[in-house]
Amino acid sequence: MTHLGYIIAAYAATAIVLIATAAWVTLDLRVQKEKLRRLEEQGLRRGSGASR
Amino acid sequence: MPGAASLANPTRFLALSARMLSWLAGAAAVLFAVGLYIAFFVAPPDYQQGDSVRIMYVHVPSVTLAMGCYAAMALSALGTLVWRHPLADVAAKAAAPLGAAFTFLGLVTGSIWGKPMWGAWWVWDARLTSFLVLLIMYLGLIALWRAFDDPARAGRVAAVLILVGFVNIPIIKFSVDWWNTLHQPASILRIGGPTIHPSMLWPLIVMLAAFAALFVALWLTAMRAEIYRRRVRTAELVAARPAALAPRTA
Repeated sequence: MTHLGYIIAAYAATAIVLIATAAWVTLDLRVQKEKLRRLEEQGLRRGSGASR
Repeated sequence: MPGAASLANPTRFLALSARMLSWLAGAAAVLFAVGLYIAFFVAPPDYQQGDSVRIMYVHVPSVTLAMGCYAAMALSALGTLVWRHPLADVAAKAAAPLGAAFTFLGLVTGSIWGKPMWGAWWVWDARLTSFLVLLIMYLGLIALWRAFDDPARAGRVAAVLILVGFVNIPIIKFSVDWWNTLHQPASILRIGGPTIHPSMLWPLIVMLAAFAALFVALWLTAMRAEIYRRRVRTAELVAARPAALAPRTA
């Protein structure tokens, strides 16, 4: 196969960027869900019915 | 049939997107497996470029998604400014980092492809420069959203900037026709049909579908995260309200 090093570099870069982006987006969703869950456990709700 | 109006309710969107995500992730995984197999083991090498043409199967989907993402953000910006759709701003904000990632990937894979074909990692020709401008615009928009405390206000300002910046998309697309560039002219989306042989076009279409499925899955996930982030912010503001309204004492 010609230009093997360039081909590997391009596919490796693609894999790294896509996996890192997917991991970051998934982790962000988990963090935000967890934050909201903790706030709701403390009795904090959105809107006028909020209580402390 | 549920339309855009029915999705204006974030809670309904969260329920629907949760059901769609596993299907999209599964579709992306299958499409990537099939696409990579035919890109490496079925598609022939190019008669001039040799095997380096296989870089096309990740480069073209990256740049297509990078530009498609900006077009989706422009539609979302219209949704924010014209129809005041509650999720339009969420959609635009969630798409920006994904667009930046695909643009970065397009520049990196293009550079890696350019070195063996052109003898240079980078040239300041119209296509490459306008695509670099797209990355700078994405990064600027991400910074703009972070500069405001109020997400609704940030969304309106960002929507105006997104629409102004949309002028760069046709410039990128037609740069290879309007100027003398080292980058090759359009060979897929062109009047008269694609100039690529079907043995190379089909792997490219499958990889495009794989990238698109992954992009939509990531976009929905990022939108869900943004909705929860705003709920956290609202809950924290509500929690802080009694203290702020309390009578001041000397």
